[in-house]
Amino acid sequence: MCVLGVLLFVTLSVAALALGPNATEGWLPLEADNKKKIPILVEWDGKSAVVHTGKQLKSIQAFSDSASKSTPELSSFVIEMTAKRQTHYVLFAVRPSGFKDFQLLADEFRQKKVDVGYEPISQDKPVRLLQPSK
Amino acid sequence: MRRRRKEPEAVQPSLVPMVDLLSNTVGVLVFIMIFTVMAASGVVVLKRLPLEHSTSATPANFLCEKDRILPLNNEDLSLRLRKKWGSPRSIFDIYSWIARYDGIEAEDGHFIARGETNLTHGSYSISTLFTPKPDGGYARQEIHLRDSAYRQYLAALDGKSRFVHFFVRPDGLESFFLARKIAAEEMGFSTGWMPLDTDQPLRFVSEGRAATQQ
Repeated sequence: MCVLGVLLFVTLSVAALALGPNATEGWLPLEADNKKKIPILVEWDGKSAVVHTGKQLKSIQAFSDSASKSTPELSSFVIEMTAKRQTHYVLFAVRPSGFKDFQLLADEFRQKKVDVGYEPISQDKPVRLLQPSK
Repeated sequence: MRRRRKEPEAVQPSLVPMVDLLSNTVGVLVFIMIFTVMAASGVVVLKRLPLEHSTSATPANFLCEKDRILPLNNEDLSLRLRKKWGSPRSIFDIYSWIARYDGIEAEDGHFIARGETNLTHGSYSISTLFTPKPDGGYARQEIHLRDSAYRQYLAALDGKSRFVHFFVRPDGLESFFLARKIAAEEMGFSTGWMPLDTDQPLRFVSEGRAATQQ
């Protein structure tokens, strides 16, 4: 019985850890389906923007030290998104540390008429996009 | 002489079925553990995310901070500030009238609104600073109650001409998620939100950013 109890405890603990705060959050954009636009997920923590392209992650330093001037990396990403704004939009996962400067970042895209969506997420929670079911 | 009946010997149960039972149960538990780890290493939480879009509906604002939801009735507070402010006495009184907005205060149960002006050579700006009261708003634990003040506040809003808009601070994330769920999924409102850092003041500027639906 002791063995059973220990194993049950271990099973529940593993399940709790796996399903707990460190579980990956999967996002399923609904509105994008309606607008037939493809979301590009960008994690924003206040310093760098992590762009999810397929299964690859690309980190971009968004602003220079002045906090208002965008870096060449960000500018090229904005240009890239502007070129495909009819078919894609930027979906931000905004972490609490990025709350302060988020509107600055989003404005870079809004000014180029790139659609944006944004959703807050806990500081350390991993996130990824799900493919909408057809 | 009566012969004493021989006492039956105690039957020793075989341990083999017990071992079978134990090994079967252990096997099932290990299987469940492996399955859980494999399943949970992927995606667990589903969220349905809308896109930002402008709207003709007017926002019913809330501030989410310190695990509380504070209804911000900025329209009523601004109206009261304007009444206190009055009107310019003449065309030559314009600048001093603008300056008189600075420092005027009005309050309700949740916020203190304070007028602010900035007059420089040839230009001016007008803003209103909303400071939450320490005991204002509703705690997260109470808003999901069936007859909570938050639900009553929402029920009094017109769902066609209003949408629910949240200003969210880092320490108000959980209350935001719950409040938005109630507003959107249970009461059918469109919603939107705007991030606000811990030390960023909640200030409405005359030509500020418009609230958008999400």
